[in-house]
Amino acid sequence: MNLANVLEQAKVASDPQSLLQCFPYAQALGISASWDNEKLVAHLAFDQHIIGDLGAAALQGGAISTLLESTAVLSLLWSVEKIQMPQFMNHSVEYLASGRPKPTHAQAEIVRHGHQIANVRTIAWQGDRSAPIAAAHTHVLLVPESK
Amino acid sequence: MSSPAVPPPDQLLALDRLLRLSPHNSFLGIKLESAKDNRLSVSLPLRDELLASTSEGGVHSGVVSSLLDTSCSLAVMLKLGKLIRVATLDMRIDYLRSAPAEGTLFSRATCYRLGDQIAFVRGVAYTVKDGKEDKVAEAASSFLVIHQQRVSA
Repeated sequence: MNLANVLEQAKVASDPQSLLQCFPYAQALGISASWDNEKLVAHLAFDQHIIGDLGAAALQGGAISTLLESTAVLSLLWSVEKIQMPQFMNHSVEYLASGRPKPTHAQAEIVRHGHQIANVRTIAWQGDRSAPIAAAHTHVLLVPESK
Repeated sequence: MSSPAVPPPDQLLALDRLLRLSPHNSFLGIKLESAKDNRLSVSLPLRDELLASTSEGGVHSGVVSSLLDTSCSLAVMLKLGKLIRVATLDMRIDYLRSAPAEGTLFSRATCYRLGDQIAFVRGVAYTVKDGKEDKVAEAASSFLVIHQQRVSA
């Protein structure tokens, strides 16, 4: 099944989790999605394979970045009428605190959704949402280059 | 103070061991390729599990992020000349083209300024075809050097 079909069914069922079947790496890493107060929240389950530094028991920055990027894509796909697979132009992450060995959650805010470019801010947190461990802003290209 | 152009073999081995000790880097399959003249490079053989989407395109941009985070943080330790814990403060990545789906993805990084507490690092992710490099992404990042924490590898 292609992404457009999966997305359509996921929206009918209001089930963002079912979108993940289209994203092999996000699934392999342990990312899931659900609703929290009518907002899409993505989750990264704790697993040994997301630990970057064994001695410090800290999550690898790239794993947190993957959660932030996946959250941005899921939120964009959910918000668009017509299916366009978003492509990242650039992505800037600030790591605010060390990621501990526990579940991480992320939520995206689409700051501007233009015809060609979307600007998305995403934050990730662990137990306490008011104490984020990472924040990102991302430019996403919505229209594939023609020619 | 100048750092030696070629790190001693035990330092190379230590960086390699450190890389292998990281569960996330092992999960991805990142390997140390070389480390000399303040330039460090790593490689990652691509596989289907790392793909962003089932319908099109290449590996997930998060894989590229992890590869760059790894090369950049190791570049700080190469410049330091010892294994001291570093933490990524920020990283900006420009995705110059869509990532490949197969083959090997490489990353090279250089720490171009090392202060007492902060290191500034640039990294690039690329593929190689017919001996020519083709850039996939570029990163600019800064790291906190945590002097009181030595890393054992």
